[in-house]
Amino acid sequence: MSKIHEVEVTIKNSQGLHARPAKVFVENANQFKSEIEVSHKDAVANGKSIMSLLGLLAFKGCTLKISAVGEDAPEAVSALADLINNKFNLEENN
Amino acid sequence: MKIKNQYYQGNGVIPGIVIGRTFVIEREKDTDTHSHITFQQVEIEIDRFKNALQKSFDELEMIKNRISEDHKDPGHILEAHQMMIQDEELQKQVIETIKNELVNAEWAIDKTLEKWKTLFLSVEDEYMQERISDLKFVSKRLIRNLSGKNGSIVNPPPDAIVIAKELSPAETIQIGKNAISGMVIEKGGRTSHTVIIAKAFEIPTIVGIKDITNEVGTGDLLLLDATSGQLIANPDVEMVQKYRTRMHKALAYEQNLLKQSTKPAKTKDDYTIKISANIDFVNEIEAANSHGAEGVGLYRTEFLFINNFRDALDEKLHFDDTLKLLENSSISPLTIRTFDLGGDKFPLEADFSNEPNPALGLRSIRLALKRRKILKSQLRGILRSYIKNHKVELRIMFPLVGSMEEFLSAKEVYWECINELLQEGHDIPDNIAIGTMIELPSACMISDHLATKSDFFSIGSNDLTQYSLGVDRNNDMISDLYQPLHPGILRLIKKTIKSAKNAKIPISVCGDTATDPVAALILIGMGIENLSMPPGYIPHIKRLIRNVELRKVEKITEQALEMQTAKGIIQLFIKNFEEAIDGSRLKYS
Repeated sequence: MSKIHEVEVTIKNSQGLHARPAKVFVENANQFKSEIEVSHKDAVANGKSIMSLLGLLAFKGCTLKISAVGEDAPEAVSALADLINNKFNLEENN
Repeated sequence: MKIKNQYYQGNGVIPGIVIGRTFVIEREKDTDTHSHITFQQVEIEIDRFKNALQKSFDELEMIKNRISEDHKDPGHILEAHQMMIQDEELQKQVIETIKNELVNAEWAIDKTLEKWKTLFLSVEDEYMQERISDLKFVSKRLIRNLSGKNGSIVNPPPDAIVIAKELSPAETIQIGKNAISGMVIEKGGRTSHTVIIAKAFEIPTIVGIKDITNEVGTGDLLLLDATSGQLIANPDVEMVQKYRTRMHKALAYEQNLLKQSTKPAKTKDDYTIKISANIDFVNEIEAANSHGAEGVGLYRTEFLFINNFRDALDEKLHFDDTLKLLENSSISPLTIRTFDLGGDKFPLEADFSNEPNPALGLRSIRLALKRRKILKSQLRGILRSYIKNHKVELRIMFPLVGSMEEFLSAKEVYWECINELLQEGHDIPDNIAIGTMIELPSACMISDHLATKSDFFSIGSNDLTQYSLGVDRNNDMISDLYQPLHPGILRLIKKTIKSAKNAKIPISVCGDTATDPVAALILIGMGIENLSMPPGYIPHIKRLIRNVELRKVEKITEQALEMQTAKGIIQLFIKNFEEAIDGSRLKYS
């Protein structure tokens, strides 16, 4: 059985896991074969579903746990954590 | 009969003045399309739903293909909506609702999205409203496509001023393509997706005029002044002419101001006020030079830290950056503020962004003193570049100082750097000034003490206002409470000026307040001789100063300081300096 890879990361962009950031997250998650889950407190979301991610109600300052299972799990987890740290590579408005 | 010159006030979110005919976007009434289905109809409903998904996706794709690649934000928003439409979780839930509850696709979509909406509403966050709007736009598109209605309902004529209750991002893009001249939207804040898109298309836009879709009709003449947030419906001939002339004059006027801006700002009675520039990037020094700045009153160094703290530990980064500034500057002095991070600015690492109350948390000089290594790298880098090039005067200031201990600790770090550099054999020019940024009420109250150890003061009016009034200036709900000319703040500033004068140290103001003509007058009336502001405002404020007598400004300021409300103070100044103030506001930005 494959090992679960996990990392915790804090949301830094002002709008949180909003439509555009969530979109960028899913696009990045889709580049990996692993199954990806994102959890916030008790809520768990499918990392490849924008609606599911929006439903996490995660805003700035929230800590998310990214978990991945699969052949490219370590890479997936670290790339997605970087993405959140880089504010989803989106320019902040205002 | 139409009422002439009907005024409405909203929030101008994208500046500009336009005259045009309205095009009101009527919303089709939501007809009740909910119905129960029989077990045999389940497959039909699922097929209808899937067709609507495909059609909605294709529509958005078509709109997306029509916008240029430069418009990244609009593109992202449309792609997010497409992704919501394609989302498997969403599809699964709608299909299950059709099957289990035996309802038609329209009803199933509403029920499913209602669940998400309830979820979004369960937390208090200013951005949640925007998520709900996203849901609504997606579901409306799906439901319209279920009904087989055609999508492109909005087609305003070129030059129209579009009036709508709300617009979806996709609709805004379609409309933006029609070369419309302005927009008025009832709903939507400064950060709404629709506004972001309008910004990309540079459409002058006002938001937040309640019920405007019922107040004006398609074809009405409108004057839209998105710079001030004012809308005038059915203006009479004189009003239109007035505005037209104003628009033409404004352009010529701005160009003329710019020409004058290289000359000093001397009042009618021959007192000179020094005007400096606030800059965020080294290459803005050119704009500072060309707009007539007589120094840099504030160079914010935060962008050097934008990536992470590790880079900022690199002394060379600061050395290279400051050297570039020193080499390209013909104006003096240059005032560099050490990094002002934390709070709302670039929360960098997890341990800092988890604070319950970041504005009152580990930010600015507090952070610098906890991370002395970084402060040292920055100071050493700045000093080394100054050793290499010291043709202009250098000033260094520490932000958000709240106590004597803090300022002395920061100065201690500075002296450590100086001693190290001396030991390394460097010759250090002795004309470097070390100053305090005054942006906390506590700093104002102990400014007499701080003045004994500071070479200069610089008042940061944005933070001073926020911290004195306890008002977050980015919070739309209380933006009316953000009053930089609140009598309490003027008293704090006055006290600080007195301390500086007693200690014979220079004092300047570098916050946004100085860009407002009324505020600029009060500041010079209280004795400020140096104002610093974004380069674009310099020509205007210089013009303002040339059109007043300092003696009179001082007299009116004295009266103003006795007044009880910011509103009263503003009115008093406008009454006394109407022409000087009106002619010095930014017309286009």
